[in-house]
Amino acid sequence: MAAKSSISKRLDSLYEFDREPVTKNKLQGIGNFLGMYAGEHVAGTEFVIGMLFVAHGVSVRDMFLGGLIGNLLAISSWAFLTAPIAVKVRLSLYWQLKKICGTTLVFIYNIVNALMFCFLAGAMVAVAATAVGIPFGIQMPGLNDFFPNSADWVLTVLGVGAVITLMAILGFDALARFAKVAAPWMFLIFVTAAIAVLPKLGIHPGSGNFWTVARESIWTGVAKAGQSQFTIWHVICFSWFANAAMHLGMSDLTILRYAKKWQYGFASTVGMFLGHYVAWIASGILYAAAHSDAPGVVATEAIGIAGAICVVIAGWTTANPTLYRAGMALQVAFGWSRWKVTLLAGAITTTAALFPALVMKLLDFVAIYGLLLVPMGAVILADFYLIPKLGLQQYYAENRKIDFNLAAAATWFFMLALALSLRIFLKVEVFFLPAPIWILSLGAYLLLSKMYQKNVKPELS
Amino acid sequence: MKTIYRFVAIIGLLMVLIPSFLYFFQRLDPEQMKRYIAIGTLLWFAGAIPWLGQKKTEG
Repeated sequence: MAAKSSISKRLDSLYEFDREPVTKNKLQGIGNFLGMYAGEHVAGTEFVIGMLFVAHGVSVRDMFLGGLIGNLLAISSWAFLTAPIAVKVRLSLYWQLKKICGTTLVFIYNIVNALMFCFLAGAMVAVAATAVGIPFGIQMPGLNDFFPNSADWVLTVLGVGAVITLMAILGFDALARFAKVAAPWMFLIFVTAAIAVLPKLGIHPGSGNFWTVARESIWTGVAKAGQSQFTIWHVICFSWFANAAMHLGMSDLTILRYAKKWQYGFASTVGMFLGHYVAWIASGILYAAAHSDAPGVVATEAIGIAGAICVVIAGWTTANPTLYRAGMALQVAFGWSRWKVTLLAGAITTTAALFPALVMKLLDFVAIYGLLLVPMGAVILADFYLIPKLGLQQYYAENRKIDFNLAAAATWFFMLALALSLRIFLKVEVFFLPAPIWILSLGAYLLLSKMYQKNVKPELS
Repeated sequence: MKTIYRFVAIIGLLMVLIPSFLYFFQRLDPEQMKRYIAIGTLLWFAGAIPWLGQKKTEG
């Protein structure tokens, strides 16, 4: 009993800095952030996203130019919006939201957020599990399967989920170290695999036909049957908003609060260019030369067992920090110790990963997940920079000791209702919604705060 | 010791990247390429885990 209590105390001590601003001695160097962003964004999803761009008929120009512009916009969002607030406040997203929104609203937000994180991590567990089965000949579900189709699949997912959960429980330092170790190798695996399949596509030394083959056989500009046609705007917006929850939505306050300077937000460049940009291009090339849609099979066909290992680890390094964030979100909601909530998040993640449909709908899911969280990112930004300039009160819930900031809640719910209406009635694609919704949320929060702060009397204690 | 780990890891990375170029330039067959990349992967993790994966002691 004493031993159990001691383990519990030791685990709890891992997370003692969650509730307070990060202290100076816990700040981390740029290397950790480079490793973290590289590891997180050279991920299992890149195998799927690069392929989907090809399937959606992205042209060569749209892929290279649109990807460049979109990823530059994403880096700017991290560096100029998220990082400056993170290094000034040094609180995790959840504790900062609690000061602005109050306990009840942050509880709702955290449940939504944690579930989104769990589903995203679940997709990564599923991608990793798909690759784990290849060397052992396990029957894997097809991308059109909704439910788990074999006991082998279930056991594989449970195994992968258990390992990933254990890693997440060990905490940020362990995750950063793991990502740092895996990232350079993973990036080179993407590159080496793409080079290895060039001869299959008819590109040979001295032929000088890369761009011709790219235009005619890889990014043809014509969508495959049953897929919608993507334009350069789709590529720009998808590249910008693929991680909207983390930059515009401010989720990465939790990570960047450990940064010594706001300029560490530019560390996201390695994730966006080595990960998203180069890895999406590489996976497009791989897909054009492959006979399968399954990432594990595609990578294994190209470079053998190392390709399968890469898909597993790529999924893992994305799932790990995502699960860590989910644990933090649930901690605020339930007030449990970090290792217990991470265990709960791991259980939800692993259960979600059992359903292959999660991978099949990944693009839509990623876009919706970003869209759900960006209004609250706008609330944080407005509260930090603009609310004091209007003579209104910052951290309203904390200062007025209220549990529910109605201005923040109304901003969030109205903006999501607006996004839903635009999607349903005007058929606006979900990838195009985060920017206007984020900007409108800034204005809505200021306007609603102006009205709300006039009417709410502080509680007398 | 760290120098040795670093050396092993860098050799591993080179063995991940170079075989695909050698295959592209028709100096290796596909099976040789896959084998060398797998060996490179093992070397990378053997060297990089003790090199980059150790917890730093606080000063």
